[in-house]
Amino acid sequence: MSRRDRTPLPQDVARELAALDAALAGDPVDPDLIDLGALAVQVRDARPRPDAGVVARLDERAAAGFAPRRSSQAPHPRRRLGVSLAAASIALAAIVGVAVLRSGVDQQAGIVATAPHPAEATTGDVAAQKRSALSERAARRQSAARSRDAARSGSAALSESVAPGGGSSTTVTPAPKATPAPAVEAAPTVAPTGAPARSVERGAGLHLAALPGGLDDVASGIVRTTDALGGYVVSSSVDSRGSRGSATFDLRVPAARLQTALARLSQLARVRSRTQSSLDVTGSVVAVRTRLDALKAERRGVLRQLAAATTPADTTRARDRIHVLDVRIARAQAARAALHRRTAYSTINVEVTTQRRSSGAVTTGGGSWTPGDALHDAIRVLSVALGAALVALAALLPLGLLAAAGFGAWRLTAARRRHHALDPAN
Amino acid sequence: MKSRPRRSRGVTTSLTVPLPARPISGRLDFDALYRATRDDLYGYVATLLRDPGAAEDVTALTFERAMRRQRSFRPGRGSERAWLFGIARNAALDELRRRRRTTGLTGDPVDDAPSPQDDAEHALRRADVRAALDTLEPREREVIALKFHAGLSHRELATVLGVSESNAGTQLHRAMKRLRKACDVPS
Repeated sequence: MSRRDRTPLPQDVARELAALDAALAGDPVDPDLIDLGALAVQVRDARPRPDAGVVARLDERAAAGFAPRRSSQAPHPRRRLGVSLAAASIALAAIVGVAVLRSGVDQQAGIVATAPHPAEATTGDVAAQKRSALSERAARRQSAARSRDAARSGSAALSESVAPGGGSSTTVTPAPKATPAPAVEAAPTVAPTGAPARSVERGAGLHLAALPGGLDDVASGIVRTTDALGGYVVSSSVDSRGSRGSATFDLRVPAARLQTALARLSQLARVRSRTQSSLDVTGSVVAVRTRLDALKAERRGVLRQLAAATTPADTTRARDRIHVLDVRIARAQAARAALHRRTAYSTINVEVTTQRRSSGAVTTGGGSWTPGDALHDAIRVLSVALGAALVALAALLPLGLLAAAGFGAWRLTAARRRHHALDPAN
Repeated sequence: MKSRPRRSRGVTTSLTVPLPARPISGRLDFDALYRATRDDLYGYVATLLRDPGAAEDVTALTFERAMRRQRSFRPGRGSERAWLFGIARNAALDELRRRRRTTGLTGDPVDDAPSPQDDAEHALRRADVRAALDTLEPREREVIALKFHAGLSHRELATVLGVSESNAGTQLHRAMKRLRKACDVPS
């Protein structure tokens, strides 16, 4: 029955209970309840009383502060249960915490992998391998796009992907089947003996991450570097919004200085990705040269015909033909010049974006570890710790509820067992 | 040549104040509670267990637990007396359970020898009442012990038993009815 049961006692019961209290207090009792009052007093007087020895021993223990006996020093079952639960909870929280922290570290490595620093990559380093894999995938996408363009122009595409972490790989990207390029087989990368020198068009893509506010410096550095190497800027676009912004550059540098240019440009800011591509245009060069030689030879023959012409009609026909050949020769020479420019100069597409603070970069090629970085790292660590705590809490909450339910059930069972001790069988 | 007495250095005056042997923290005046409830507690436990030796142990264990759990006492949930007898009840019931597992163990009989101050009729009547109490069921005997031996009020009785006050009154009334019948007292 609930303790809050407010059901009033029957009147006769309440009267008898009141008579008991009155009798115990020595107050007068109603005449019809005198016997009940007397019984109450007799029951009270029948109370077992401790003898002098018991009183002395109890007083002695009271004076000693009721120090627990050796037998009662053993941990209480409830305390044992609590200690066990606490130990289990701590162990579980530690396991969950370590697991979450490890996954957090791996996740963080994955974030950094999108923006690695060349000096960070080491062979055998798992994180570096992950970074390389991610960068390779990005480079592969860019190479695939380039190879598609190359396939449209009917040439084979040789794509070289360079992971910024140092792990480079060169892959030949075949042209799409929809637009087969027979030049792939016709233009091997290694020239056979006696064959003309290979003409290769080389290009590169560079994605740089500038520190906030450092976009202009990086942009200026790109232009300076290009000029210093004898190249030129075909087009540039700089979009600056406060400390953030982006810029794109289309550069041409002498093909012989492509690697130097890439190395110098990579020092201007942190390299997020770097791709290189090669396009063999030997076939086109040979074709233009052959055609040009043929046109020139034909022109020489027409000139000879003109010299030998005897009639005005023959002279006019030879001059018209020479005029047509001159136009064709000019076109062929223009095509040859264009091919020469493409092979003599390499294209570098540079994209510069401001680096986000949350990208996890601590040190970059163009900056140092600042108090702002420290604050960012502290916030990052706190957020990771908070996340780990939340995960641990989520894992521990059901366990805590189970433990609480178990504790409640245990208490209920203990109480019921105690009450069973008062069963008549005892 | 007279030498001047050297002045003492590093001498400090200390005041020694006697401290209680075991200061009691918290809101309970444990010493007063012990003095006020020792005999009642023993009487209740002895009635319940019907074993003076076990009653002494359980009484000591009750005070030991109460001393250890002083901070768990909440005045809003009952009087100090009810709190203490609740502890005693649990300890006594634990002892009863323990004894049930060792059925062969029998307790010492209650000493019914009359005290020098008692007259013969009084002692006889007390023996009759004790004999009648022994015929009651343990739950009834416990209620009567809490009421008349421990001296608890109806509210404290309800707190110790963990029931409502009216339920505690009903239990007490039922137990008294059985006791009156056992004592041949007309109801």
